[in-house]
Amino acid sequence: MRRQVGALLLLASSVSGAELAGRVLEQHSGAPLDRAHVRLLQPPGATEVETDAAGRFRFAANPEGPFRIGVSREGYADGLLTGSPGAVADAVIRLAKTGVITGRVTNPQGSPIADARVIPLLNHRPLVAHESGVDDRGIYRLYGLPPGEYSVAALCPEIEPQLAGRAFLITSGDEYRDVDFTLSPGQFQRVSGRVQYPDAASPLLLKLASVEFPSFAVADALADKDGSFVFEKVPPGAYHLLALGPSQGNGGYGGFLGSNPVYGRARVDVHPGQDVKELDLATYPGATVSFVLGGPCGKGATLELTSEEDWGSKTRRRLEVSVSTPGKLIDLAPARYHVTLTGLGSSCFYAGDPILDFTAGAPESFKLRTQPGASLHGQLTGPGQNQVGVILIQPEGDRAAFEAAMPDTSGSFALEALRPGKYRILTVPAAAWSKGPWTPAASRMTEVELLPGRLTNLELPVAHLP
Amino acid sequence: MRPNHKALLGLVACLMAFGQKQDGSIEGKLLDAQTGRPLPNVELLILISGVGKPLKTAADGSYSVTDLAAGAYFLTMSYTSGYSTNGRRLNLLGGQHLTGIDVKAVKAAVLAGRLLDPDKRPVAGASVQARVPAYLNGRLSSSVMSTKTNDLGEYRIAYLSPGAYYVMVEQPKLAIRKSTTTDGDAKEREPVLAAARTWYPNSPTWQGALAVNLVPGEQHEGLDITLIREPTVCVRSRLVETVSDGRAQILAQVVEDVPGGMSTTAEGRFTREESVEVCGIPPGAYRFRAVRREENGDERYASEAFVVSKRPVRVADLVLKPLPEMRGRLVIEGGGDPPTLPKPVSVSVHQTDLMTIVRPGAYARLTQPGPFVLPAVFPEELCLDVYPPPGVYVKSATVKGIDVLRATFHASDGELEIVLGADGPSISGVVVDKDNQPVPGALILLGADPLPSPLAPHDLLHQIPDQDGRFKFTGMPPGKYRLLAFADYELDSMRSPEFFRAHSFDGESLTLAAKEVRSVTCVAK
Repeated sequence: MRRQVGALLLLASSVSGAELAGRVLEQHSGAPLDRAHVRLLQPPGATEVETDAAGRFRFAANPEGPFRIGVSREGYADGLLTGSPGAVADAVIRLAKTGVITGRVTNPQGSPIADARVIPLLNHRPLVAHESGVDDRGIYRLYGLPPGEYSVAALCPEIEPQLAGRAFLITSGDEYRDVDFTLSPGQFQRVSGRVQYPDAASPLLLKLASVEFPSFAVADALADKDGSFVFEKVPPGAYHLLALGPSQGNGGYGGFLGSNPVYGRARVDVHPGQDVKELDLATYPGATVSFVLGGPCGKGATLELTSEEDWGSKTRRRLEVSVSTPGKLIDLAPARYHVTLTGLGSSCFYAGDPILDFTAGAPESFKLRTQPGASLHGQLTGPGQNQVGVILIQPEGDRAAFEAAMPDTSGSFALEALRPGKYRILTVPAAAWSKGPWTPAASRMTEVELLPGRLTNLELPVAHLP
Repeated sequence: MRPNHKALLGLVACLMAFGQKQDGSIEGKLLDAQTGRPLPNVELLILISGVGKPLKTAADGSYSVTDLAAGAYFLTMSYTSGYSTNGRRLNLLGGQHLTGIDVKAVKAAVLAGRLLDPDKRPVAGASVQARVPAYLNGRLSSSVMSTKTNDLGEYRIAYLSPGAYYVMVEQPKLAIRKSTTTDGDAKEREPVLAAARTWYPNSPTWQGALAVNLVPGEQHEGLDITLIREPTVCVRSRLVETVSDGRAQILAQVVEDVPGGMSTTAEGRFTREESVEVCGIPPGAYRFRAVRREENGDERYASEAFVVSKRPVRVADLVLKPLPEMRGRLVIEGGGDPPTLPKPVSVSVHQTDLMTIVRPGAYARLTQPGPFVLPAVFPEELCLDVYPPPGVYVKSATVKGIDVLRATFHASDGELEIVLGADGPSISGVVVDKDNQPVPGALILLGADPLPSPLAPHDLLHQIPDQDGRFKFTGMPPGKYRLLAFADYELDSMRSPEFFRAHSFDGESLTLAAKEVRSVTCVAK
């Protein structure tokens, strides 16, 4: 998956034949950023340099073909820059500072809730890697948030998840304080039933995961010897009832499953004032699925399946997959798994569904389709072409991610190895880039669809720029 | 990170007994150990067969729990309650209503500050650990509370029991990468100064660390720590995997020996044979490990020890091999003919840095004497743990005549011989104060006299008496012992040989013969 990018870039001048060098600056202040890691991604290699106190970097060798530079620094969104050989004398790369959201989670009496978690959501998807616990004072701190529009949810066992009543737009280093939550245990209902479980001597773990936040379990329980189970304090809401066993205990980080595990799942709706009784949950052995790499590119890759729900165990599964030999994953839960394929190479992408839904059964084999990247070559035309500093390309539906390309002196530019799909393109005047915070105007963007393995040629007319 | 006790206790694989009358009850108050004042709205935990059930105290600090079956219970507190207690052990008879079961607790402390790099800039994502030396099965380990610094370099470790802590900070793990250099590469030759692991206030090792003493309720803020700079070098090796089907990843780690376990300094994942390297390793003694875990749980493993001083290190190739088995024999003496076990005995071996992790391949549950096999143990320095059933003790455990209850060993050293004794003594009694009143919640220590060094697990045993001051020890061999009782004590002292030795002259000396059943009354200090 391409890393999230929120960099602003300025091409100060272009000198043919110069070595590849430049500066990294903070986007909103223009202050130089030292110790930023600048990596030459294309052509591939391990060439990485660090910026000095003035934010300067310099690569010893000038790449002969098209190049792509990635920039990263703690506390800033990553930056990506694409350019042509010999075109750059002093590339100024501006990195957007990541944002912060802080506050407290307390009960109505003002006491901190030690078990609470706070999760940021970007485009309605929880960013679990950025979640925060609360400390002994109830304080949480979400940091390192790339540019984007966030909502925030506070979660606590036995309490209905709570969303903050507003959205938080982060462009460059925005910090939102006192985003407080008061979590109040409301009405509880009892959820009980019996699970059909062949090995009554070993404990079976049950969880109630929120449908809205499936990575969060509001309640845990162990089935008794006869398979009966009770969740005592369940707030009204929609849940996935998840069962797995034999459980060999729980160390606070998830359960330890014994051999030959079984799983069960059902949807449970809990209404105010109504206990849920006599649930009957069947369990089944885990699925075995053979995975093979398909499609025109990549000989091997690493597959990672991450279950959307909190099963408490085996939530993340890894497998090396290849084109020639199927690889098997055993004991897969009836879960919705997010698919990540890494190691395909920089110009190859996973083309299948990003989620494998095994909730109603899993196939015996699954082909992980891949597709080659797309290329975009363009030519700026019109009276304003010499004033364009950078062309920004933004995947559709992602307000925060950008990749930047620099036109050469004749106004042509090239972007290679892009994930196929719809994009929006914007030409940005050099002068506009140098004036600090900047937000792209969607109305001025050109839309284009890039097809896998195909080169798209584009002519971008540019009027006189202000 | 310290485990979530609520989750741990609530979900331990433990099933409740069925079919018993549940008509007993327990009630009492939660009191501040220093002021004696009741503590309202605080969560207690009652452990029922090891499963924790939360109880909240009322406005007057009182608690009560009803519908209890006859059995053994333990009252304690979740660490997020903000209090720390030694707990109360209780024996409840059928239909009994225990009253006045007061629990004393002290307010937990907080340690907080900022972590800065040598240029005084905040360090984010670093690990900050508060460590207390502690003993586990006679071996020195450490209890660790840890957290990560935020983007401002701030850390805050709350819920600490009062006591002395050593604070260690580490940079985020270094990355082991595919090697891009060769043995003779010039850039590897000179050490590079880099921020390195630091013990408070500014030492690269534990020996130079100063303890931070925390009193009950203390908010020790402003404990800022600056990472020290040390000369660091690059370390290289090669992963060699003969079964290179590329289906499972190889996890490579550089781990360093620190008091109470290993600390992972660097990590990387690889899919095939690679030359690998990691730069930024400061001086110290390390292991370069590689493990490949198949979907079916089989593991292939390699490990090489190395020392970093001032030069780059080329570690020998890490050739991954299946984990070796370890054979053993269990003998029972002093029991019936033929000798039998009343219940199974658990035997496990583990690496010295992973004292609490029991791996299926290195664990056996034995129901009768005779040979046994631990199918897959790590080819590293190992410790042995034997958990005999009640009434049985570990007489000896040896590998080629070496006492492995008190020494480490390797799987390749030879066969493991464990001799259990079924003729062990028992000692029970009551602990009282100087007015001959029972002292519930005291600490009773039973230690071999003289206390050996190093210790075997049965050399130093502890008990917390029940509500009537009653206690009972079993599982030790016949021999000479000293019995000590303390009305007030700190949790860490119950397993500490130093604490026992410092007070042993106060204790009662006694000799326990085989199969002897002794009853005593001891006076708590």
